[in-house]
Amino acid sequence: MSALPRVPALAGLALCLCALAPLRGGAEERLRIDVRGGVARAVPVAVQRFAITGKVSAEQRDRFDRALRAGLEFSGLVDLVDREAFLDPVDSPRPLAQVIPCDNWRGIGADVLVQGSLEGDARRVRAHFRIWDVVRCQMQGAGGHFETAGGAEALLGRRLADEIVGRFTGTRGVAATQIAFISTRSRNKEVYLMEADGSDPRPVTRNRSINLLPDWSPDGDSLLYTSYRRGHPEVWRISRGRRPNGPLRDDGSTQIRGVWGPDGAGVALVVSHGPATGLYRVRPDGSRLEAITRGRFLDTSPTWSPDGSKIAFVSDRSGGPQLYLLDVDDRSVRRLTFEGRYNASPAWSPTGEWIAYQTQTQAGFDLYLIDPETGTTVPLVVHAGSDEDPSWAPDGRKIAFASARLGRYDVYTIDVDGRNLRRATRNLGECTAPAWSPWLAGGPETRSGRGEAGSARRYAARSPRAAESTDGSPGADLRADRPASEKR
Amino acid sequence: MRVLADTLFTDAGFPRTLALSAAGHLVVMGLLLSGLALPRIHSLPAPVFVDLVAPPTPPRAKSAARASAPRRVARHRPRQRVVQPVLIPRSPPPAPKARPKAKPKVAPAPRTPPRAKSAQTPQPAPPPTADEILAQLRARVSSRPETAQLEAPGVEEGRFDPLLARYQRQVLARLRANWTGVRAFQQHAGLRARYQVRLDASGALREVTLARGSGNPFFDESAERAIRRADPYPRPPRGALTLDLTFEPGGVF
Repeated sequence: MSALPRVPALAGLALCLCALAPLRGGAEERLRIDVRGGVARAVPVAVQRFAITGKVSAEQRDRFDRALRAGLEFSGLVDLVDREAFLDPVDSPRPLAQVIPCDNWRGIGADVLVQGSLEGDARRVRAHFRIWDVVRCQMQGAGGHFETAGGAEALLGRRLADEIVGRFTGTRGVAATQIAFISTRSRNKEVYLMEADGSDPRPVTRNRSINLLPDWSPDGDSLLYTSYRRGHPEVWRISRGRRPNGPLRDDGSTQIRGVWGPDGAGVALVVSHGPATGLYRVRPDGSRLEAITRGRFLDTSPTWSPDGSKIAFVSDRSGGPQLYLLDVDDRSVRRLTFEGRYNASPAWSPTGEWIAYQTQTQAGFDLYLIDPETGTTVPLVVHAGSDEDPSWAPDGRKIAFASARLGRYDVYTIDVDGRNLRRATRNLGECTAPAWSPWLAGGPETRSGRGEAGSARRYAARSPRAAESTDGSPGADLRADRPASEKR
Repeated sequence: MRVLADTLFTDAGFPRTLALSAAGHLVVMGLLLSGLALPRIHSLPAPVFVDLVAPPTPPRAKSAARASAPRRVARHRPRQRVVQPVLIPRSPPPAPKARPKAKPKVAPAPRTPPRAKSAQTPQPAPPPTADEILAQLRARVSSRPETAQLEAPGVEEGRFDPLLARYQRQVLARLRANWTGVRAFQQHAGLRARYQVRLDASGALREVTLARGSGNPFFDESAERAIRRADPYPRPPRGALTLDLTFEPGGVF
């Protein structure tokens, strides 16, 4: 047998080797990692001081700057980067740059940069702003501006703080919202109003009677509250920019409480008839009263679900105060709480997932959350002092409540995960029954960006003169722009 | 030397030689019998009794355990060689196998009947305990196919890779430490964003791709910022690497 020719054999072998060789490089190794939750770090934000143009004074700029920074800190989601650490100037450039040195800002630990300018004069102020994501090195949304009347620079700063939070979380912040509450500062129980961070408290009512249980309309334009000014409890309504309309229903009935439902749902009214107290529904103008619970029970403290299909309320139909759920359409009722002897003051979250309520303890009350679907309860505020009257912020991330932890009742705010506890009221007597406003429909006007348009007139600035108004007439304007000289 | 050899082995020197030889043998025998020439054989130390109360430990740990146990050793022999008991080493444990997760039955949330105060009404069932509620929630979460995955870090396709497991832990810690603002999303149940990230052999970030969004672009962006903030990553154990990252905010409670 003859040997194979060498050259063709070698060529064939080489061809086989080439064919067997991989067509490309070896496959890259892959690794799967599930990242569940961070370490609860806040977003580090660097805020350059806004440049001044026009006739804006340094004092106006400082008011704006303080409110902006306070509003960001109030969110609980932001850590402000110390200006001493800036590698770039503390003041915003003028004009605003189209690009920024992202490495400089990342190098000091910032994730976000806010810069802008203020222009206008003492009567009108406009804030132009840009928000940068320095990690991805791009602008976060379009730039924009807010505008408001002179003297309202703090409102401008809070509104911008809410806008910044919204651009990174999808949900606007709540620094530019308000909290109504009851205060005994004047030795009577009057309705007061303050900004969400506790600044600028001022009275809404001055009728020297007993006023209780304020509740906001869905647009934040009106308040319902219970007043004994005519000798028996009635639900009254007061609106911004107008004198009060008086009782919601002027029928002589004993109206314990009024709670506004979502748009179109009407008002849940608690009316007492003899030994029983039941829930009713009326239109926002007080017409068309219809009963929604029946029986000789004590049914009170209604709170609406965000979609208006259900109402959670307190009833003693099983012996002691417990929470119940009512279906508004078919009027079916089922019990919700089974733990604790005394559960009260339910407040349905804006997201619909939880109902906050107070449950009795040896020392008073603690605050819990309950899932309306499963009945699962979670402690929210457990403290030696009594904690009561929960009220949700419109973002569903914060709760206002009254606490006697320091001896006297004051209004506090806390994040729903238990962080960022803040005392909102100080030296205002006993402060109870907080009611957190929705996002206010009128706000600083915006022309571009993601801000919302609104009428500045409806959200009028509180001029320094208004602080001196001393009307004694029933009900004062929510913003007290002018003395309410008319009397009913 | 030759003269001596000649002297010793001639006829005249033979008796002398014989005598010397015999004398030498006698001396050696005498020494042997007296024990002076033999090396001393030290007596064996008393055996060390050790009570094994834990599974066998590596030799380093065992010597430490024996060091603390009471010993009876010969005195004044600091360099004495202690005879170690011979242990048969155990075979290494088998690698953990990937167990396919059976779909657990999700028990419905128990609805306890209303608690009645009157002595005449029957006693209602007690409300579920915290452990029961947690078990239900765990069952509900683990029933989702996305979460019914291999639990052990570094376990891929049934093989345990310790290098990869260690690298996985390092990257996970780095991502969690750089994920800011996640608190804002912890109330949103079900958010899950998937990213593909390519690292080069030095650990530098080369490519970030959103493989599947959560439906919430703000959450997706926050996860991307965490990926970019964590750059540069630790050096991968075996060259360039692709990371398949899944981000979930975790719950508030």
